[in-house]
Amino acid sequence: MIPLLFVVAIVAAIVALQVTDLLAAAALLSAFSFVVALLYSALGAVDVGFNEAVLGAGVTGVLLVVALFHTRRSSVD
Amino acid sequence: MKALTLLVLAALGLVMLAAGAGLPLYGDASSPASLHVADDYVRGSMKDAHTPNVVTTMIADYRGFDTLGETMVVFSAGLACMLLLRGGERRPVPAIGRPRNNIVTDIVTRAMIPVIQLFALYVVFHGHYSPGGGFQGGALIATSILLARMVLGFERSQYLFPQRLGTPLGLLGIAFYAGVGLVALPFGGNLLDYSYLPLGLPPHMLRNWGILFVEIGVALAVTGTLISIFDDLTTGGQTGER
Repeated sequence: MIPLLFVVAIVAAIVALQVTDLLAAAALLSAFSFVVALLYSALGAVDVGFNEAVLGAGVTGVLLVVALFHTRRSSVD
Repeated sequence: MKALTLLVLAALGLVMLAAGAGLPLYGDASSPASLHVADDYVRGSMKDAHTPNVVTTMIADYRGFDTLGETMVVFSAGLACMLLLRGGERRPVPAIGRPRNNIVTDIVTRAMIPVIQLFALYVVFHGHYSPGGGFQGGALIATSILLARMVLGFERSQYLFPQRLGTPLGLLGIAFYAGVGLVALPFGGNLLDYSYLPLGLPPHMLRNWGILFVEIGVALAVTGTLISIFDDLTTGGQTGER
């Protein structure tokens, strides 16, 4: 279970770096945070996992999307 | 340039993996981290503060001063966002503050908000016994308000939480936290030593209650700060224009 979560987290991180649509990148970062939250919980750090799920997967995603409205939606490189 | 970046990153990754091999194994009882003070905290949590969740005791009691500083860091981040985003020529983001007038999202949001907030209160007040505490609970309350801001629109979510209250609420949380710590001083204790709070309970129960007070302070500070950051981002700090 834990190695699988690691693989999913790394794949999500790499894809988030590669996509040119920044909205998709923000969504992928939220997904990454959620997988990392599951990983924390699986390793026994439930409080940290809770934090990561609420802040990393929830609030950060919202703030990134709001920040996107201040700029362009596609990345240059 | 890109190849060079990849090369440097790969080299750094190798260094990290090599360093990771030297870490103690997961749950290793003879690792340095579990040999010294950790044992004391794990054994003492129930006896000292009547709190089964050791993490809560660690964060709010044994390391209460650290957490006070952390709460101030969160609030300072909110203040920095305010300085950067308010008063500049940055335009508001109308697309986010505008109400959607979509009956499905409206009703689902209105149904979800009380559930999220009730769960947030449970997380704050049950932090002694289950995962969670002030930080998570405060973030959950902020999330419910952010949901209303995005779906119901800026205007229609003001009655849930007015924009001007964000920063004052954060300040109130920190003042509450620091106030609980300061009350212990005139009654003979050190700063944040809850066992000297004048409530007429045995010391371990006083520390139990002190943890609850501190968690409430953290929750208020985190709620106010997160909402004020979001509002500054979406409105550029301008009030009452939309």
